[in-house]
Amino acid sequence: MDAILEIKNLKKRYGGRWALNGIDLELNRGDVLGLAGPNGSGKTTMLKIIAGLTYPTEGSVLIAGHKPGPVSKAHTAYLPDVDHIYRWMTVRQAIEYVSGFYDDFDHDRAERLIEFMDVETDMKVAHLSKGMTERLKLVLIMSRNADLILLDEPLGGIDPTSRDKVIYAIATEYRWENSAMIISTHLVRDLEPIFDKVLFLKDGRTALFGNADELRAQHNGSVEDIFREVFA
Amino acid sequence: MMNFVKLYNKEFMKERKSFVVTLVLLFLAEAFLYSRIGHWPTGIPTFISGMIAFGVGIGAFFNSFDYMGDEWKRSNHYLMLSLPVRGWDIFGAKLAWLMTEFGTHLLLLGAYSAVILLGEARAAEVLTAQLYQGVMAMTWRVYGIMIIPMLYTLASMGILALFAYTVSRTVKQLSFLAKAVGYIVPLWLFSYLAQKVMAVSPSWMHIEMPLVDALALDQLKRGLESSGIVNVDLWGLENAVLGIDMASVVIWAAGMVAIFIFGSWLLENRVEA
Repeated sequence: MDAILEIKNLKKRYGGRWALNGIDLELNRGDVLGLAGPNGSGKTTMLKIIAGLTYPTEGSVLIAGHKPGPVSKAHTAYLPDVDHIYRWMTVRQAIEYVSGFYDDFDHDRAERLIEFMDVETDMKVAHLSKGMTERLKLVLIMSRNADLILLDEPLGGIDPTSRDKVIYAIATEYRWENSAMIISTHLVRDLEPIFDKVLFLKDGRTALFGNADELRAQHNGSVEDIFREVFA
Repeated sequence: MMNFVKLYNKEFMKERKSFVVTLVLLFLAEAFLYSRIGHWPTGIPTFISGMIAFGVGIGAFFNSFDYMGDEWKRSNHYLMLSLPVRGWDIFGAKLAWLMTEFGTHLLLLGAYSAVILLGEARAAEVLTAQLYQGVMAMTWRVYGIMIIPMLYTLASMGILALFAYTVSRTVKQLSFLAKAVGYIVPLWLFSYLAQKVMAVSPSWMHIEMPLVDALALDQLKRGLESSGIVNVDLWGLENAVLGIDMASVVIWAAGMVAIFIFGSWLLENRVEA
């Protein structure tokens, strides 16, 4: 099976501090990885390196066989944990703009998601609430048939209604057989049913990695229980 | 190429309203100055018009850093850097929009100033028709000659500003210092090289044109003579030449291309979100 993501001995240093220190990971099509860890454990740094927005100090990353760069970015859909959509655009303009760069953008799916997410297309991004902005960001990501989907805190700071819609959209619109996905989150419980692999990061190192079902069986508890156990 | 067009369109969509509003306001300001011809002391409308063009030029300098910097102000650089595009597409689109925006303003302002100057000359009622034709020919020649250097300067300024800002984003600390170094060092280096090359470049690379031809001074002279002013010496400009050293121009342009390529590479390979 061809790996969609191969990470070998990934290290990233900021000044004198190692944000990531020797991460190895391989994901294949159909894999959904839950990436968890406390603040500052290296989750966002790892996703940014895979997305090509930050560069490793050591080690290698391959996405569909390509090093992070313009080619790999065409294979990767990245949802950052910041509001990165141009505020002066309307929702419709934002969708038109982003979709123009990706051959894998599915406009029909985008329309379906917009309706489900209840996002008003004539509104300016600047006027959207936090929850609405997160929904729009997810529409832009989940409308693509990308090989690798990276979601950094997709539930961060949003209300329960938006949270339910985001989780439902991730679960229903993800191409289970064709893509791999990494979801970084603090809210392990909400997204746990989607994970089939789990990677816990602690101080930039792998604290725990494995198949979610096997870990549940070994620890006799949910992934959230294991999370509490590891980071207690 | 398509990515460049999409990125350029985005710049246009973002700035189109302020661009049009500025166009209209500048036109209204210049129209007002034109309406003051004959009411205000001679020369004042032209002077103010020139000052407006100068101010817009200064504005272009300070604004040029924002073309890249705006992406970072509201975290939009996450989107920009995650797009599957080359660094030169981003760099080129921003430079092209800067050239479009300020190039349009400065070309129009130059034309407005020329029209106001000619309006003042005509309103002075001391010019014969032939002399007016001479002044008009010279004014438009000056305008035409200024276009290329102005666009060349604007492009250089834009490349240096985009490059300096990009350099500043490759460091976590002292980014202001990195920006200053990223602007001043290439500016000094390529100015120095251009000067050195000019000193040793072969004579065939020195292109010279008599100022009389370049500015249609003969026509002005005939106009002055028709007004009864004889033995016109054209302020000693008859033997003056307009010269340019192509070697230094090429060196400077090559430097700007190198900066453009290096800046694009930094954007694609070193700038981090």
